[in-house]
Amino acid sequence: MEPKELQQYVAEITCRLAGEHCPDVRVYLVRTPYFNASMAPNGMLQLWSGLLLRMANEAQLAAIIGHELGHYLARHSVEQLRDAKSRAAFGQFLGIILSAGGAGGVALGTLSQLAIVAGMFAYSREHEIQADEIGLELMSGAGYAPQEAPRIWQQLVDEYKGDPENETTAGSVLFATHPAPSDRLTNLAELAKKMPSAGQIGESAFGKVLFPVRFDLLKDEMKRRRPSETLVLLDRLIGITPGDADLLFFRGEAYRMRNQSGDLEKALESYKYSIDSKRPPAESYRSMGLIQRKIGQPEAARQSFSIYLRLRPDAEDSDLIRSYLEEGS
Amino acid sequence: MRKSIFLLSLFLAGCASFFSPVGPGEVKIKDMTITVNTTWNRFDMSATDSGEMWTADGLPLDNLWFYAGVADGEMLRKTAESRKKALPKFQAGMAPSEVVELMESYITADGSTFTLDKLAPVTFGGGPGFRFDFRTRRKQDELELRGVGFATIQHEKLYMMVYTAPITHYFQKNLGQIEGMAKSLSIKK
Repeated sequence: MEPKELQQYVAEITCRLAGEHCPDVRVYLVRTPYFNASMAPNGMLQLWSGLLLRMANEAQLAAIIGHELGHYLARHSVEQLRDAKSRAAFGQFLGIILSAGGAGGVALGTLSQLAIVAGMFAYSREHEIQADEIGLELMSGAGYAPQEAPRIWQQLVDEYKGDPENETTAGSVLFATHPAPSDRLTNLAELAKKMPSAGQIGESAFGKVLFPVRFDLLKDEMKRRRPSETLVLLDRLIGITPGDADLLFFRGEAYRMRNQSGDLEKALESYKYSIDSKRPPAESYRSMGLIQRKIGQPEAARQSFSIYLRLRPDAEDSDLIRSYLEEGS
Repeated sequence: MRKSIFLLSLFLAGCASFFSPVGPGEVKIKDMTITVNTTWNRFDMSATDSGEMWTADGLPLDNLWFYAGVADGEMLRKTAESRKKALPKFQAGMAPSEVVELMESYITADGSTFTLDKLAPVTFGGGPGFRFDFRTRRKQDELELRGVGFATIQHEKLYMMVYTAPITHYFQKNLGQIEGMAKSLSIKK
């Protein structure tokens, strides 16, 4: 990701938390709509843009960075590599013994592989809890409100529960390698209680820095094609900045994509809120026109398309929209 | 080691049979007929119920997908079970921009990017259709590709051809041919 201000902002928070270790840590922002952050043993800290989009404020971002610094300070990845090596040796051994036994070498080989991987997951869960604790101390020490840390996990759980289909599927990879968000939530909330409750939250500071890239990040988010989860995220973000025209536009897009019974009407309503708000994106008019055209409101569609073309005469789909106007809607 | 050499030789010997030559001349793909002026290679493993994929210079360099009558509620192509949930299905009432979004979700399923450059109405398959031009950065090798698609919805079915190739050289090389094929395409009523 390019934007310098955001990069600098994240680097400053990292330094505030890392103290004397600041020169050793380099922050990389990665553009991908999923929720993740990682820390390499050489101090390379990666933050994914899907995570940034989900932060409610600076304190939450500090909690994530603090957690990753926790991995770094406790040298978790080094330990994990050593552990993987010894487990791999054991797995090979197990594989040899089992296949020498004669029964289905391939299947049992897979079994011993699985033992290695499963072991690593359990090991990494311990690390996650330890990193959570270090992270919480770092953020609190730097003056942030530690109560924001458990909220991140509450937000994720809420999003996940937003899609009823998630009950029946394996879900995100994150939940396999990490403790269940609900366990983590409880653990963090317990720890945070023992810390000073007052602290910096930094809602507007974070919102201001993210704003220039937020439209693109929301476009990326739509590409995950999990509209039910996205709707939970958007409703939460709209709760922070009510009447935000971009967020209302994307809420319309999420309803339009989900397209369950009643969703087109909800989409239309959301686009209308968007264009009644300050600085609506031109796309709100286009998407509104597409739905109006679909549900048999040609005159309303005409008006929406006309405004869209006036705002974006060179839009990539301007020829197509113009052809709609020529044919009457 | 001996086993892997055996497998490798089997693979090399088998390679030729993954492709079969198509054209020049009239070629039928299910309900669609097109005129091709050189020989293309059909990738046999790509064939699905409603389409197939061709290449001129090899799979890593250019792909030409044909979707010959995708019915309401069908996926664009067969795909791994684990990905099915994330990939949407065609719906007969889709607007052109929604068909493009549909295509986009298949292209970006592996983490590749997608940017729409142009979406415009054209006649395709003897009826009202549309053409879309796009760019994509392929995830597996970070290669910048350009793409062009032609589509029409007739009798509640989607008929579409989509061509992608690297921006450097290959896209431009075959674009004229692709446009010619799109013009020649007819759909059996």
